[in-house]
Order: sequence, then C-alpha cells, then structure tokens
Amino acid sequence: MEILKIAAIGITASLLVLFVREHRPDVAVLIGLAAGILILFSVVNYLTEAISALQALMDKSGIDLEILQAVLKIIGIGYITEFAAHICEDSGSRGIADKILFGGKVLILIISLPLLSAVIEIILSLLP
Amino acid sequence: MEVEVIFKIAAIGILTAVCCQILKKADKEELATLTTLAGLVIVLSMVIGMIGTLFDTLKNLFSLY
Repeated sequence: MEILKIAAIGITASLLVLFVREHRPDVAVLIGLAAGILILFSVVNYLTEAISALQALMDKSGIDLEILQAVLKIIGIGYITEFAAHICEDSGSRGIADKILFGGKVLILIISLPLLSAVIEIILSLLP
Repeated sequence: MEVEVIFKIAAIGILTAVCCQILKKADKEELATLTTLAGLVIVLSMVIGMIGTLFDTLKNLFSLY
C-alpha cells in the first residue's frame, strides 16, 4: 500500500529533521525537502493515471481540450507554489514564502482569464 | 531512490557536525568551517538533482511548458 510508504517516509524524515536541527539547521531543511520529493514520486504514477482518465472523459464529453489543459496547468502551478512556499517557511523566511504565494496567484489568474471569457460566452449564448 | 536518500543526507549532516566538534577541540577552526561547507555542498548537490527530476516530472505531468 502506498500510504504506508508515505507515512513511513514522513515520520522518519520529521524525526531526522528534529535530530539534525540542533547541529545543522540547514541540512535539516534539505531533509524535509527530500522527503517531500520522495512522497510525490511514490504517488506520481497514480497522478498520471488520473490525468489520462480525465482526458479520456473530456474527449468523450466533447468539451474542447483547452479547458482541461488550463485546469491541469493551474493544478500544477498550485502544487509547485505550495511546495516552494512550504520549503521557504520551513527554513524560516516567511516573507519569501508569501511572495511566492503571491506570484503563484497572479499566474493562476492569468491562466484562468480565457476560461472566464469562455464561461461568459456560454452564458450569453444561453440567454434568449 | 527511496528512503535511503533521507538517511544518507541525515548521516552526512551528523558526520560533518561531529567532525566540526573534533576539529574545534583540536583548535583548527578554519578546517571546521571548511568541513561544514563541504558537507553542505554534498547534500545540496544531491537535493538539487532530486529537485531537477521533480520539476521535469511535474512539467511533463501537467504540460506546464
């Protein structure tokens, strides 16, 4: 089961971070970073399966692929922003984490603008 | 590419910390700082390699070009 591996990685990493933090706080942050990456790699196959299933669904439903591409991009940007912000927060620089979150929000806004216009066009076409 | 990466990083961190203590006792301060730096560089090169692969997989996964 994947969840056991994820839990094992998380617990061992956090204990090691606790142990290494008094001597070497910089290495402790890197341990947390490595644990985060390992956890993602253990579930990345399921993520690819889910995304390909979504794409098959979207093809069947006839909605053009552009919307799904935008949604996937938003999810990807959200994940990377969250990942980077937490690493910065762990290493103690809260200001930089907030700046990263701000940048991520702006990028998501830019990507979601065409979606917004598509929705509005659909609504206008429905009105009599 | 599994849990042993975490143990490797932690081992390097502890080893460099111990070396620093010993070197400090043998009043070789500059060597102590150098070993700290060397340990950090080794760990950083490992972790940056992992970050590179992470960002590549994310780019292919979410088609974030």
